[in-house]
Order: sequence, then structure tokens, then C-alpha cells
Amino acid sequence: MTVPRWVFAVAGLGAVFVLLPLVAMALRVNWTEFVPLISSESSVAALLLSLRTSLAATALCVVFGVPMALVLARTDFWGQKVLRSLVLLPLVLPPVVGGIALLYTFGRRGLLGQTFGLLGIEIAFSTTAVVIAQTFVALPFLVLSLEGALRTVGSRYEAVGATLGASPTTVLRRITLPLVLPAVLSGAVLSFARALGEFGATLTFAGSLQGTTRTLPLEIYLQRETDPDTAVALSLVLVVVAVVIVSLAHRTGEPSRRRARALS
Amino acid sequence: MTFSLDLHVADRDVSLHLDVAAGETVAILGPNGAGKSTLLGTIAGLVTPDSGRCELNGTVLFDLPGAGRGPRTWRAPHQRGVSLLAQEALLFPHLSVLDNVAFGPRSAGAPSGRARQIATHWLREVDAEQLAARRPAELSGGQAQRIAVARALASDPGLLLLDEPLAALDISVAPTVRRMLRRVLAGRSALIVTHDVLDAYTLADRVVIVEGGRIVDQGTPAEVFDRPRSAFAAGLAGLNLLTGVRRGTTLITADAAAPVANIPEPGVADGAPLSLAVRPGAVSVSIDPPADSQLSSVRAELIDLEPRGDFVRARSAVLAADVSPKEAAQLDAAVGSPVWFSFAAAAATLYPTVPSDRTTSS
Repeated sequence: MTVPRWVFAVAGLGAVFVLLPLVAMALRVNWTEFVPLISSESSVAALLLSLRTSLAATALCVVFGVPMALVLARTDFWGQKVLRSLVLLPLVLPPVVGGIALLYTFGRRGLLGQTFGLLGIEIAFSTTAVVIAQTFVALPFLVLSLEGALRTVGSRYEAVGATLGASPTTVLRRITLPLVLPAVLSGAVLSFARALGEFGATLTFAGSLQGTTRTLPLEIYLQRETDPDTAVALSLVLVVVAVVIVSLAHRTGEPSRRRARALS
Repeated sequence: MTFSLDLHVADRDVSLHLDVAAGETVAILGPNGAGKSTLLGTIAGLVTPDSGRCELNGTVLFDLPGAGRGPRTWRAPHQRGVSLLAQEALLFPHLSVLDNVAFGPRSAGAPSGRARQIATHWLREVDAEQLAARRPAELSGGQAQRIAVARALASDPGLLLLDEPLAALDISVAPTVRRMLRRVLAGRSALIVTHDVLDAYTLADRVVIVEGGRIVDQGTPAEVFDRPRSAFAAGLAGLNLLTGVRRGTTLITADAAAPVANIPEPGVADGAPLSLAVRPGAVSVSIDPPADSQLSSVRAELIDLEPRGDFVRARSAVLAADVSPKEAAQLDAAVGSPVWFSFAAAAATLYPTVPSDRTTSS
């Protein structure tokens, strides 16, 4: 298809809309003070906390998201469509609402919080709460991309594996997971990116305590009031990390396309 | 007997019984939609029938007595010892050829070294040892299907199921793969679904014709294709099939519209049901009655003339005849009116129309 010229014009406008704010921000960066700004104690603490919690959240997303995607893609039961919509709800839910929901689940007076409280475990306003909030918002990204990949691969290889004498667990380990590995990786990268940028649910459910729950986005929001230069510098750090992650996700997504071509 | 199957699918009106003896290869032929692939899927455990029972070497694969009539047994696919080879090779794309073939032994618990040994043995059996290190994406269709055969055999199945294994192959590779299949299937219990008479002749000890959810004929390939009992088998064998009853030297067909006069000695009593098979190539067509009184003949309306390469097929509701283009040109004006179809007695096979189970024991 030949793309009409006016489409280029509109597409260009859209691209400018996305890129211009980034450029505007980069222009405001105080380059001479850049390194001291991002290496202040609170900045480094926020950055390290963000990386730590996001990695933990990504691990949880993989642990729970892979089985969820398998159940959604490979089984058929009553109410499955409703369940899928509910599982994907955090994608469209305002993060603040997610944070409130988590507070009423794990908070001191929440549904499970009281039980945890009796065991001497306080979840709300702890680093654990940050991880929970990030997992909550990031999980659908992994489930969604992996479920799609599982449906694309289909179950014919799995059927062959079963007739060759492989148990369901062997089929999962030696056939299904290797076939969708690129999707697991790109889904994990997307989940990591979403966890890294998480703000609303974290603030509502975990609060903003330096070194404990104040992740990079929260630190940026806080500094914006008092020290715009630091806020801008940290924002740039976050943008760079995001760009690196997006390009990583693209690269890990590629082998699956190559494989799909080889199959067709 | 190593394998027996009773299958009933109510809403598709399928009801059939099938046995496979130890070391026997049975070919299943039938029109599209006869449920042949479903049959294989059921045996492999990938499709659940309404009711039925299936046993392999003394192990019950499934026993489904129908709703509310006793306990249901269903063995999972991986516990059946049944390998399914499909039209497409479906080699695992992320594993090397060797690891694909070693997959079955590995799943059965063999250590990696032993599994590779078994895999190498089967790769040698299908003349593909040199491909061991390749990835499936680097194989041609024929090579991939060879590997798929090796992979299916390496899992040492009690019964091997083949679902049109040559159908997707290039016409130039199919003969080699067919020869290889004949070699590895010898002495092995196998069920093969095919559309190809040549597959049935070269690979099968016994042929089963399935039509309308029932087994309509079975026997050795020669029995089924030389003396067909179903229009489908006759079509596959390229024969005209006429059925009716004998009245003296005449065959009265079921609709009685076109009696075949002057049939050779059929060897059945007057009034007995009789089948007659004759190749279209042995039938001549003439506008006037045949001069030679020795010929068997039938008068029927010439429906059309259909060019087929270097000959033309003249069709009527009763018989088809292959005539030369020159003869066809002379017949062109006669399309739509009655003509004479005739053939020499020696060219036809006459046999009693036997009731459904001519070879129940095999």
C-alpha cells in the first residue's frame, strides 16, 4: 500500500506531540549541576528503591502471570471471559483507585490486613506495600502479552508432545514455555517499566517515606515543589531508563516474529 | 489382537468397530467428512467421543459407557503409548532434529545420553542421520516428515497413527517417504488414514472403507479395490461399479432403468444379488447397438463428455467410458440422448454382492 501524503503529515504531528514535551524537559536540565543533583542522598535512595521494588514486582508478575496466562489461553470454563476482564482491570483503573482498593485489602483495618496484623506483619506503608502496588498495576501487561503469544503458537505442538508420552508438566517445561519465551521476556520488560513508573497506587497504599517507600516517581513529584532542577534531572534519568527498557523489549520480541516466519 | 475400538458419536451418526492385529497396518479410506481424522484423534486421546471403548495391548485407553451407564475411564494422551503423525511434521521449532527425535525417550524417563542414542538409531532408520544437528526451519518438507516419522517411532508406540502422512508433501518427494514408511511400518501395528489408493496398496495389510459413519467394506487392498462394494472404493480404484440382481444373462440394476444385457457367467443363482466392476477404459460407446453379440451392453443416456488429458470420459448414470478424442467428436451430437455402452466379458469382474461383513475376522 502507498501511504497518502497527508497521513505522513498527521503522523508527524502525533510524533511531535509525543517528543516535544521530552525535548522541552531536556532543555530545562541544569547540565552543570546534573551529576550532583542525581547523586544526592535522597535521589540515590529513591533510584535504588525503585530498581529493587520494580525487580521484585517483575518477578512476582512472572510467577503469577505465566500460570494466569496459561489458564486463560489453554482452558475453557464458565465465566472465563468475565474473569479475563477483571484480571485486566488494573490496566484501565486509575492507580489511585487501585491504591485505595489495596489499602482496604492489606491495610491495618483491611480485609486481610487484620489477619496479617495478628501475625505481627504490617504491610501498608512498607516496602512490601510498594512491591504489592507495583505488581497490582503491572501484572496485566504480562498476562495480556503472554496470553496472545500462547494463542498464536497454538496447542498443536503440545498435542504432539502429549502423544509422544510427555506429561502435562513436561510439555509445559519443554515445549510451551520455550516456544513463548520471547513473549515472557518482553512481557516481563513491559511489567518492569510499568512498575518503575508506578505513582498513584504507591502513594495511596505505601505513602512516601524516604528509603522505604519513596520511589523515584514519588521523589520527583516531591522535589518539583522545592527543587525543580533535581526533579527535571531525575525525570531525565527515568526517561533514559524507560527508553533502554522499550528498546530491550523490542529486541526480545523479535525472535518470536522470526520463528513465526519460519513456521509459515 | 492388540487393538480394538468401539466408537459411537450420536450427533454425527458414527458407529463403528475396528480391530488391529499385532503387527498389522490398516488403512482407513473414506470421503471427506467421514470422520477419519476424528477417529485418530479419539484413539490418541485428543478428542472425546460420546461413548465407546478402546483397548490397546490389554490396557483400556477409554471406556465411556454413555451418560449414566457406569463409570467412565479416560486415559490421558501421554499414558496411551499411541503416537500420532499428522500431515504436517510439526517438529518442535526450538529443538534440534536430534532433540526432537529424543523427545519421546526423554519423556519416558531415559537419561539424555541413552535418549540420544535411541534418536540416532531412528534417524538412521529414516536415512536422516546427517540432519541430526539441524533446526527444523532448515529442513525441506520431505526431510521434516522423515524426522517426524523417526520421532513418532522413537517413543516406541504400541500403536502408530498416521493422518495422511504424505498428503502435504511435494509430489516428487512422496515416493521416497512412502518407501521409507513401508520399511518402518513392516511388522508394526499402525492405522493410516489416506486418500491415496497407492498408499493403501503399498503400506496396508488391510483396507477399511468408512462412509457415513459406518465401515462399509474391508479386506485386503486387492479384495477391496478389485471387487469394490462401495461407490467410494470403486471410485478410488477407478472402476465402474454396477449392482443389481441376475435375471438369466441380464443384470437388473436397482433402479431397473438400464438392464445390462449379455453378462458373462456370473456364478450365482438366478435372482441373486450381483456386482459388476469394469474399468472405463474397457468400455466402448456407440450410437448403434454393438455389432458383436458377444459383448455385454447397456443402453443409457449420454450425460456429457469430459476431456481428461489424452482421452475423453463419456458419462452416463450407469457407466462411464474412456474414449479417444476422435470418437468423442463423433459422439458430440449424441449428448443428451441414449447410446450403447459395451464391453468384453473378459474385461469385467462379476461377483456376488455379499452382505456387509465379508472379512470380519482378520
